[in-house]
Amino acid sequence: MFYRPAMIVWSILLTVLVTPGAGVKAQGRLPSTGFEVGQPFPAIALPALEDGRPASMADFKGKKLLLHVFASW
Amino acid sequence: MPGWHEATKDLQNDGKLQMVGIIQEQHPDRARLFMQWKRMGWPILVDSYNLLEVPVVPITLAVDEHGVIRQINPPRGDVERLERTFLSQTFDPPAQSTGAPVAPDLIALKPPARSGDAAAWKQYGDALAVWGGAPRRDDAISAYGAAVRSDAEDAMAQFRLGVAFRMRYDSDARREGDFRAAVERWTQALDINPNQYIFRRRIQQYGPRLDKPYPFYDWVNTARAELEARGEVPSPLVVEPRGAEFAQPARTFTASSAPEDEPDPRGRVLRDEGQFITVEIIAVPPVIEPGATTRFHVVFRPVLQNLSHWNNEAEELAFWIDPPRGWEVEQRYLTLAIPPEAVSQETRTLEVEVRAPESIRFGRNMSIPAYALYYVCEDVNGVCMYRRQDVELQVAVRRQ
Repeated sequence: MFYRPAMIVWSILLTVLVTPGAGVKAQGRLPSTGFEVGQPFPAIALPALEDGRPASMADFKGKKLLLHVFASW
Repeated sequence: MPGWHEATKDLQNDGKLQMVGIIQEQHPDRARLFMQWKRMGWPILVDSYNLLEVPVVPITLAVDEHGVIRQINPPRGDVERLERTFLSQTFDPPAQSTGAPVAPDLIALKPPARSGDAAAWKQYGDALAVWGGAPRRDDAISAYGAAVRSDAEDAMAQFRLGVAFRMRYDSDARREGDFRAAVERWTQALDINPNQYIFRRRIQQYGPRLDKPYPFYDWVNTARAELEARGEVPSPLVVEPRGAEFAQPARTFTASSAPEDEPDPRGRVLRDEGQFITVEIIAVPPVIEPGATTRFHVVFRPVLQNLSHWNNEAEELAFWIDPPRGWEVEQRYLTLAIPPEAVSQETRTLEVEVRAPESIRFGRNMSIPAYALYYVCEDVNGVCMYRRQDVELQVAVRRQ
């Protein structure tokens, strides 16, 4: 019995595809950010830390932003 | 992030770049202290409920003048590249422009009472939680509760329900079981979506040292000291971080090897059945695998309606744990420091980590016996006494 190279490749691919989490572990990736280049930042209002009033990225239209989604830890 | 701030100061001052932050924390006021400490004065938006549904932090986005995302996580601190590939570019507006979002209409969003529309309940919960504030928190909890009853697999609704429970726990409207409910909801959310690091971090914030990626709020004391040295008044915190939130990560579980004498081995001290002090115990996480650890938060509260109060003129509160065979405890005997005033009515919390045996084969709910000893007084100028309260530290052990 012998295995063709293509069979071996498919076998490895299937193993990676059907093993939960195997792909993520193999590549050591974190989850994606959920954002996409070229898409508008979600139109969502959130309270401002300063005074609790509704704020959104629309407040900064006309400006170039470096936006940090973060935690202090 | 402070690195980006330092590196782009000139661009910010010249009006070429605006820094904005969105905070993903249970306690956003801690970010205010952090920003003050790091001398970062730019606008921050609060997203404790993760309405943005981000799976991880930190994320840095370059957003153009039309509100379109142009770069995700640009190379950290590479200002030259940012100027060349983003700041010096002119971008076309998107084909369709959206108006400025506003806070939602709470009345219009309310689903019919018997509605089974999980998405509608979640949306209503979001509106109540974010814009209704403390006065509508109970309603937010009800709305999220309706959402998860209609769709128990909605991880984000489970998570947000947990956030709301913990917010109520940290408020004057706290109800018994709120913290436990928060941890259970976060755990459920993480079970549904184990790749969601915001869910995971919320549990780890209060969880055992073996599961911690880093100490969450060890910077707070440093920040306060440095701010005071600068002559500034540190921004106040609504809820002080404590215990697990300061704890350093650990790679191995260390059980105390020092000999410890049980304080009441014959059980002779008269019992408090909860008439003077109530005890609430929360395991974080509530379910562990064999060989894993959980962190118990043991919360003591004087019964205020009885005017019960601590007597601080005697010994400190003591806590003894009697783990079953095979279970390990960080410390079997713990004490809590007492405040200087003669009497007080504050809530007292101690935290202790426990490790389950590797040998547990089948899932089981475990109760670990423990008891507290304390001096407590009844009523104003009432009788003070030494009391014992027997409790159980409960955790479920299951293989995943």
